[in-house]
Amino acid sequence: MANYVLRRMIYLIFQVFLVLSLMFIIFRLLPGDPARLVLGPLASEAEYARYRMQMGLNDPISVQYLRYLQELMTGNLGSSTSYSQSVAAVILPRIWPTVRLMLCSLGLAVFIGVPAGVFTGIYPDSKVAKGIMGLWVALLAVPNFWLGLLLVQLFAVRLNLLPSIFAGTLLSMVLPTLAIASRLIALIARMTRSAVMEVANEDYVHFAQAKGLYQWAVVVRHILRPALPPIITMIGMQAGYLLGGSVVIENLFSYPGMGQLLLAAVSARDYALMQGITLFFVMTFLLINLLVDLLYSQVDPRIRLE
Amino acid sequence: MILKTDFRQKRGFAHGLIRHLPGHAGLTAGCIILLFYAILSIAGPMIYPRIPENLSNVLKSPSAANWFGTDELGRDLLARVFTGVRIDFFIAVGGVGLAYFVALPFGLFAGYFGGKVDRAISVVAESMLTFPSTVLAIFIVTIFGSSVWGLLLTITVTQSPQLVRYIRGFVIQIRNMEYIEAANAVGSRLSFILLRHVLRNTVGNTAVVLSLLASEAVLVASALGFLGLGVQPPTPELGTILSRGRTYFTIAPHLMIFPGLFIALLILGFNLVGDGLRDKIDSKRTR
Amino acid sequence: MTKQILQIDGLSVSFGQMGERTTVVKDVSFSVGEGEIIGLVGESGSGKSVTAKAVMGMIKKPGAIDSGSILFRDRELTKLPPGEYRKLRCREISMIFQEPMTALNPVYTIGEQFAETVHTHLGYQKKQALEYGVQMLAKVGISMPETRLRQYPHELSGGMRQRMMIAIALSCSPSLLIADEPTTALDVTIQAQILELMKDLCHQNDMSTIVVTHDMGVVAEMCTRVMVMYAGRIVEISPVEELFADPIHPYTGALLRSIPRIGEHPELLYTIPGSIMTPGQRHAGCRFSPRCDWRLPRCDEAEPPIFAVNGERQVRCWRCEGGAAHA
Repeated sequence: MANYVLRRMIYLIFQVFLVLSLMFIIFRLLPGDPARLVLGPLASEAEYARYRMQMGLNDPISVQYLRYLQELMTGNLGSSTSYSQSVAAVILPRIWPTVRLMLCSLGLAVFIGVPAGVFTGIYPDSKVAKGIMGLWVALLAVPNFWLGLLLVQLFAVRLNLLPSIFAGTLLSMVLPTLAIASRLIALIARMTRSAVMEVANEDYVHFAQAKGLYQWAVVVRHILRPALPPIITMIGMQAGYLLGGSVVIENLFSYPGMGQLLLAAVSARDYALMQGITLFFVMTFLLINLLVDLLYSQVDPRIRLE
Repeated sequence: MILKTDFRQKRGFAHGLIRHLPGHAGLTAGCIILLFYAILSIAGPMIYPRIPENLSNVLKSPSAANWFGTDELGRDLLARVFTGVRIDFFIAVGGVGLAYFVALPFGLFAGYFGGKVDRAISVVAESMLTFPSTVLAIFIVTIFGSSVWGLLLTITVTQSPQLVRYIRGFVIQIRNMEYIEAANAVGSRLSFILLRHVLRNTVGNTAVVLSLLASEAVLVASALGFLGLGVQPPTPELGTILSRGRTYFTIAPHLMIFPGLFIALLILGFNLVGDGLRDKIDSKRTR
Repeated sequence: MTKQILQIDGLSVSFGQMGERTTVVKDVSFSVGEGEIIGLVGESGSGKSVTAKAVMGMIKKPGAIDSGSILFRDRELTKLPPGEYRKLRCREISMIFQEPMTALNPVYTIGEQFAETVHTHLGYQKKQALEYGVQMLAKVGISMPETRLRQYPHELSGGMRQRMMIAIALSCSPSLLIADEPTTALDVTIQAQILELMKDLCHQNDMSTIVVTHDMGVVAEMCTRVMVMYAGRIVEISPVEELFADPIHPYTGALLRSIPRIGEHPELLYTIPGSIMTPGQRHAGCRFSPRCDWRLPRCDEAEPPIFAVNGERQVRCWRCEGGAAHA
């Protein structure tokens, strides 16, 4: 087990390295002259040239690349041009809000999606099940920003029940969480359903019943538990959606997280900041995948012993 | 040479599909929806070559004159939506289609030859996939620009890595199945025939994946539009129309309902087709 | 006469949608005495497994019991509510399955799977359950029981897994055990051991057993009485020695004849001509008649009822009308 974790961590480092290199390439491709952006359009050519020399922008690519890696290793993410602070200082306070939003959305999606999936998997022919499955089809088609708008329209404007802008309260977390979670609910529920349906026909489920166990014990211990691996895998695959969704939804609800920051950085052409934020997203994504892999091996003992 | 064969087979497959359509409600519904959007995309600008502004008729609710109401410049929303559809549809279909041609050789080589080639291609694809598609799209669109072609290329870039991974998976499946037959086929010249066989067998699964990627493409494209990174006004695009609606949604909710509805419907269309195709293929396999 | 622990009368089970139901078990009647080991024999599709499942109350949609009664210790099982049935399972009537690898859940240790049973029925807490588990495992002949309890099913051999299933099934001291093809999935050498074990345990605990199998060797080894099923019907009930010595129903005879004997070197192995009728096929007469060497015109007109023959034996054949077997 420890061996497996170690191997995974090494692979993680390798992935991070690759991604950083990829980011380097992308960022060099982005349009705009950094000197002009930082100093403004009114400075003289000499000043631009001096800036470029200071920043090492005239050095050969390989040198820039090495310097880039070195800076990252030491935690130096550069300084943000739009905020006049170090990138790290700008990013740090916004990490937790975004993570919190993601966790809440994921939690809600699992809390609703898994039971829904189990129910429709065990009673596939009931009318309720068919209705629920139809709902999923609709949920999957709805773009989350539109859903966010609709939710605001309904709950904030019409019914005046929930706040439309994030204000730090628990209540104001509800709509953003719902907006992101909706698609996930449908995906998790669908996956749970198909996993449950596959497992429900296994012999050990029949044996569990033959042992006279309570019905809930059969469902939870002998159907749901063995069905978890594909569900967990899918959650890992949706990590990207969670992160990406936060960008749009944070914008919609003025939620002070990384997503909103990214958009601000893009419109200000603040490349250092963009890079820092991207680093965060990518690291989070890789971390989530690592967690998913570890969780997977916990849930299925056959994997653990390999 | 290979591309030509490829395309011909795709059409042959579609022919077979149409025969099977009546059996599956979702698939039929999806195809009808997509057909509707295709028609709109082509006919839209012909029906509404210009959409006049009418500042005395601003932000009106749906009425007999304007079925969807009017927007903040007095333009008929229905006309805007109908013409806006073509951009999202074109970007999705074009972007994913282009992604297919880009990803196909990579996926084929990675899956078929394995080994170092596979590892090299997979590593690049996987690392591109560590970027959430929306985030990646935001960056790429900054590089390529907020034009229609820029958006299309953005979609191509975001969807290609996934496609490479899927195609590679399908090819590996096929390779394991028919590899034994391949062992009997003699000579390297016939490796081209093998490629044809491999391609033909992956087409079904690939079609499913393409639909689902197209659905995702619509989501990403309209999200970009919504964030203001898509095509610039006055060109209508569903996401940008929706973002306008956002400013006025307290007084004119119709501005936000209709564009969003048409985005959702398009996504639904692709989803239904993708799921329907998958069901068809699965049922054919179990028969 | 020994007390009858289980009495099945006129049991019929069918599967299918509304309006399109296929009868897979028809008019099955037999009884099992206390402490008796009986065999339920038939080929695949004869309905023997379905009958076993019916006794356990585990027939799932789209299957259902159409008619008949199942009396267990004078309780009518067909009318039992699900909650009551659950209490009965494993506590009074236990079942072991054919394939021990798939019958045990791969994500839990066998100790956990044992403990949940005794916890549900006997209220044992963890420590108690484990101690009892060690006892039971020793009883079924599993070495190093403490270690085994912490292992996962895929770490054990086939024979051990089957012993484990038996240990779980017997943990609550049921009065009736149903063994569905208990040795079919095992190596031949292990088969003998398992059968021996089962016989010992049955006699020790005075437990009745129904052995469902297609293997006549198993029947000969374990059972005192045999019931032969064909196409969903019981066609012969007889004490074991008499069945082997003098099979009455033509199917039983053919079945015994198709077992090759050591020492014989036939040119062709004997097979019963024709094939079994599918449950959906309609046929007015005896289901075996198309393949029967002793067919009478009557056999195609109406299905024979069960006739009592020579005392204890029962046969479903027109040739047995009148209480004696007509050649």
